[in-house]
Amino acid sequence: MIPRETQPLISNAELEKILISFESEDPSWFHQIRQIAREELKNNGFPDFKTEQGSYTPWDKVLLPLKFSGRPIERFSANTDLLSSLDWNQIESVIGQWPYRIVMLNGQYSIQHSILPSGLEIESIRSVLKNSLNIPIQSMFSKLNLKELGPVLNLACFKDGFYLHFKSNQCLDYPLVMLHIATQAQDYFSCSHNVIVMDEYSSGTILEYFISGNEDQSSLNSEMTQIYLRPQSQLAHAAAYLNGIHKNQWSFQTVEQQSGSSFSSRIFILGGAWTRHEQVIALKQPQASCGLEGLWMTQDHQQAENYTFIDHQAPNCTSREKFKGIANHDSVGVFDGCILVRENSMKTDASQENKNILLSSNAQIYSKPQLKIYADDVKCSHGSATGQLDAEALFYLQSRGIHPEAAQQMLIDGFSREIVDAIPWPEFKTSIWNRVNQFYKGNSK
Amino acid sequence: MTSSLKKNSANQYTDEKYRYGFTTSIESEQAPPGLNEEIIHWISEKKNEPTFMLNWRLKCYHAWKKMREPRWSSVHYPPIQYEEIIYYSSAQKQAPKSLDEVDPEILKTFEKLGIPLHEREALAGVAIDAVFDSVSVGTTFKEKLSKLGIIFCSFSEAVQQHPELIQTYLGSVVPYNDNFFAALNSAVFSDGSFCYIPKHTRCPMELSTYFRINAAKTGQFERTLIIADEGSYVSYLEGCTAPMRDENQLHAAVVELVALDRAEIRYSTVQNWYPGDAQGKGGVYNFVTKRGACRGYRSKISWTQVETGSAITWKYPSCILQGDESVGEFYSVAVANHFQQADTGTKMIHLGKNTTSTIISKGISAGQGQNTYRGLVRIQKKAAQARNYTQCDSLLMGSHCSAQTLPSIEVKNPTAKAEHEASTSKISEDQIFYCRQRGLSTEDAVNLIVNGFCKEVFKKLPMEFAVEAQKLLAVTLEGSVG
Repeated sequence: MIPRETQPLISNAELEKILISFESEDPSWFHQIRQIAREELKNNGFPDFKTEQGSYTPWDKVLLPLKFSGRPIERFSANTDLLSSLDWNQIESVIGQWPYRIVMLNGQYSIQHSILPSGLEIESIRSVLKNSLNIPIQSMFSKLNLKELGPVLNLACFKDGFYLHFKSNQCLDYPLVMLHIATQAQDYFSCSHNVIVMDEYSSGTILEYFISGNEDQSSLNSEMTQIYLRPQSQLAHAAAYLNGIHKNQWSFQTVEQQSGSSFSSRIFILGGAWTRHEQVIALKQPQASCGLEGLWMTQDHQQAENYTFIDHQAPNCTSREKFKGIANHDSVGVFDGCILVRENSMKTDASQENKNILLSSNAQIYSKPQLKIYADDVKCSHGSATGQLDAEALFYLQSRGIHPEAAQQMLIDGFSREIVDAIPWPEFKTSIWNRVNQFYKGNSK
Repeated sequence: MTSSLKKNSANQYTDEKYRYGFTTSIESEQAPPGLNEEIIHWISEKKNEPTFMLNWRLKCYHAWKKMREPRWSSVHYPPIQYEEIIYYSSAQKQAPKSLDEVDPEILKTFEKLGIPLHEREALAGVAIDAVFDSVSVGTTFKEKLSKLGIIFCSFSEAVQQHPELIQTYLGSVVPYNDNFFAALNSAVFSDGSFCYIPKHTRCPMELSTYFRINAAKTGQFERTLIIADEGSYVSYLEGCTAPMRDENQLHAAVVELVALDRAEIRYSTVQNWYPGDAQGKGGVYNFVTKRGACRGYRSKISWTQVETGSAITWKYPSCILQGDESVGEFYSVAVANHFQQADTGTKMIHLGKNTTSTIISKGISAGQGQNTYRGLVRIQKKAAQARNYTQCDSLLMGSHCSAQTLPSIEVKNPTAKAEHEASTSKISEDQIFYCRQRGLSTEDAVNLIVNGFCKEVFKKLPMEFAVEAQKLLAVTLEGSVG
């Protein structure tokens, strides 16, 4: 490869300005971590097409909103204008009605809009960080791997987020819905950081919705969630990205699982200009299990990226992955999944599956299913297939008098149904189906 | 139950010395260590090359100077001191004209290796272009081939006699600035094989070369160029055995294949360089760039490799499927025992319509061995109806070895289809028990299972190679069960 001389996407002076705008009062222990992240950001800069991790991402477009973040952030916080402009009926028509909800408005935790279940400990992350007696949270932050851009950018910039704590044996009766709403008048960059801790034998469901309007301005939201699952706890998580067409979303999730805990995750990328969902899952103790599923459907110039990294650190753990994608028009889909089985992780059972469909000649799909295995007594497999809709199936349906478009829709329907039908929450399923059906309409025009 | 038995057999085989480890004492004429413009002038002058070659070498050297050694692979080795390598060494001062002129010491070396040139000539009907160190020793069966118009000679001979072919095709598949090691090779390559098959000709025999590193501290840089003109067919074999050395030796070869309309090239490799001892000391670094271009309509290139040797194997035989309906194939068995590291795989670049590619990769890791499959399947926008099937299986023996599968699939055409499948497994106790119950020893049982595992690839090798490959595999893996 011939080395290319390129201008950095964001110059150091610009970066300095951005970081100043995100300056906030931190307790001294946290200030140190933030400084490390900021140094890392300054030293390594932003990725470009040359690096393996960044080779599929249009960084120039994605990072553009960062340049505008030099403006005071308060303008975009949960002020009264925005409060009144929120139309709850409209939002509920998208997401359905739920008894509990946490609302994040432009990356800030909004207590006014949230309805919290009783007995659940939920706080703003800022106040948790300031509590010097909370030793566990200090170690959580100090153990973060500050080598990847996602967490580094987030830690360098985040101002708020929430801290959620399920106590031992606590079970939530209904899913807790987390609503990320972006309403903006101009280009902006927002950043939030959340921590979820589930103590022994607790169980809960967290459903995340990312919604925004179709304004002309581009924006970038970086969201990072640290999840800690203590022994025998269970967390079911699902995220639906239903953003508007100019919204860039970068989510980064780290999950640490202790013995016997189980984590299930469902990712639906059905909107937004660019959406990247990264998951780093560490199975730290025996008998932990995780299951990740995902569906993305892109059209026009959308780009959807799924990154997963499952780190089997203990014996007898199980992991399952199933990601499906459909790309139409000029859109791009990326799946990059890695399963790492460490030396002593015997009896690991891991599987990974990725299936993609291309509907147009300008669409692109990149798939990287990776296995790294350092133990011999394991069962690991992965499979990836990329192609078009089965021509014979299409012909069969047409021979039965079904219009080609309808036939195509039926096949896409069947393809996505495998993931969507497995959703155990009816209202969530409905909201996903609505979006999937919209995709058909956009597809057939 | 069988632990003591296993240990015995394990020791027996682990201690088995590298069968092909010996050196011949022939005075070699060599360049001083290090690399600079002067050395390149010296090499070019020594080989009496035309100006275009010297200019090309210099261009490559300057490109190499600007490059940095790649670090993205998962192999680990101490930094290579490029200034201490001797870039040119010729076993004899003058090139021999016939076998009689060949130094008897060299002939004896081949004798010890089990490839006596005379016998081979008559028995197997194989023409061997034997590269001993860096200069061709003898070329056999040349006349028979030349009657058909086939050119099969050493690279330096081709430079002298067929400069127009060299000028057209050299660096056309692997550009001079392709990668660090290819650029280094392009600057200093000493010799190699050249093969041209004219239009509508089927090469009547398997062409073959034996490579062998000899003089101490000599890096060997060969270059192979095979051109199959319209409608022709050639099967080329490459086999390697290297003598035992304590110092690591760098081997950076470049292989370029060009297949025109309806031509077919089969390129098979059995690689058995010195892998280092059981403690991971010594061994050859095998950093090779191999690439084939299917330029013509319905052309076909098939790579088959059995990699059992080398401390580090780092190579990706690739196919660029330019012509419509062209076919690329890659069959590989890679074994990493003791402290061996193998980072190998392939690249299939689909450019033409209806192109198909098949990748079958079998990785076996034992001891502390590391085996990585790294592959790329790229289907470009115009490659309508392109089809790829990839299968990567890994077999792990022992708890300290590792297997990595790192494929990358990029599809830009909706009518294309790419599939990837991979699995990782170990030889199960049940399988061994079943075989032992039938009266097989543990070693035999493992051999049986491993052979079954690799069968798909061995089937693709020419007969005599398949036998050799099976033996090699057994020798490499013996003592690694338990």
